[in-house]
Amino acid sequence: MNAGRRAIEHPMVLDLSALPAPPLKVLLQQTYRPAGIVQRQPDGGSVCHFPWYNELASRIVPDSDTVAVLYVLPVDDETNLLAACIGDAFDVFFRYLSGADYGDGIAALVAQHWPDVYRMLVESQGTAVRSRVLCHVRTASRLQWVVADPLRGPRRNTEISNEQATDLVITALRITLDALQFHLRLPGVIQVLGGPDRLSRRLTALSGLFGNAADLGGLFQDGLQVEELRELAKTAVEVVEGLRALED
Amino acid sequence: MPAVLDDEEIPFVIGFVDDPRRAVEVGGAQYRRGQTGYSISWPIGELWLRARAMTVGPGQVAVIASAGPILNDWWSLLRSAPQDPTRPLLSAGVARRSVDVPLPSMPAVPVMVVPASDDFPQTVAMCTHPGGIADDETLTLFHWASLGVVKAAVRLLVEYRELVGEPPEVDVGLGEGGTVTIPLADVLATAAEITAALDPGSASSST
Repeated sequence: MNAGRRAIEHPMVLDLSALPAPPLKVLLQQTYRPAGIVQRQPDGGSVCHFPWYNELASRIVPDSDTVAVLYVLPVDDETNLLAACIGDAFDVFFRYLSGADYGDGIAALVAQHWPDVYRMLVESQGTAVRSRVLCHVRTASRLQWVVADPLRGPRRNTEISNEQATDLVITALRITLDALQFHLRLPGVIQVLGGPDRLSRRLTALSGLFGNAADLGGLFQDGLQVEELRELAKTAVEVVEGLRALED
Repeated sequence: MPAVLDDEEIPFVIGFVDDPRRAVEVGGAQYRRGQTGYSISWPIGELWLRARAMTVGPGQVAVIASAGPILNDWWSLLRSAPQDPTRPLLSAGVARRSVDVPLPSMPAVPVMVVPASDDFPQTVAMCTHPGGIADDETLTLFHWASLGVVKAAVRLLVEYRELVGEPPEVDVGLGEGGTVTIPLADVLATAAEITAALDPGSASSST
């Protein structure tokens, strides 16, 4: 497998910008209000129908207002995406990953240590979605990252299992945390970026790029695999708070 | 009064800028004439609420106010959804029934909500009347009925805001030429303020 940056540098963009569609909500929301044509679910969740997509909200953890939000986004007549939005959480890391300076070195590390992420980016290079992808959704004024699975069949009739939804949420959370803390979590990246001193300076300079970290304030928890999600969510909140401190 | 309106001109219900074209003021509203109808603009603070009177068929005239194209994508979805009392005007549009819009010290105005179509891609609030466009009775009726339709059109925007949740981040052109724009979110916030000022929650449904 060619593990260079060229193999992953052009992720697919699902373009909704010509439509009056609101931007996607980031995966976990601490305050959530259903909109659109709302179908309440027996488990306390909801399916919200919009002309452009469906928004699925699940309150899986008892005694919490936080919900996991997923989307069913149409790709074509036969294919939809079940998508978890991670906002701009992947932006900074992707700039390194796809950049001319360090891209090939970091891409090789990603292929080695985070093969699922690498595979999602490779799968995202074409227009046909065959398996889980990490790609962009563009609305009128935003370009957001989503982790998405292909679904076959009409949008209104798609059936999504709890297992699939939960697995997608966990994966999206892990990618978010890995991307936001790639300097800590990706083995070998400090050496590729020139050692700890230079990396530290670069991260400080890049801190302004985390300007939308507030969007991640809702990152949190979910699921059938509650404990794992709880840990992921806890870490996510800590990371976001750390980023805010970096901005200060 | 010279004709200054284009025949096809249906203004967006909220006017954010003054219309420089020649107008006549009658009963607190500005009237502008076209070849086949006229517009009625009511001042509200620094804004205007705008309606258009026109002939819609043989012996049938209407005064309408446009909520613009923002609801166009929603109608097919609304038709497949149950009626919802939290959106009385949109529900009335789906059910093709009129809504009585009350006015201060006046009889309520029966208003139809007409969904956007391929022929006319805007959602409008409309009050019809048998007669001619320049009949005395029509002129008197439409002077007040225009208030009912503008009130309904503004409220449609409020219902849209509730429906869409977070408004899309798009700009809306103001005035001719489209060189000046305003965020849609601001338009919808203005609609909510106008509705609050005009006695919100007053529209009741009738069959």
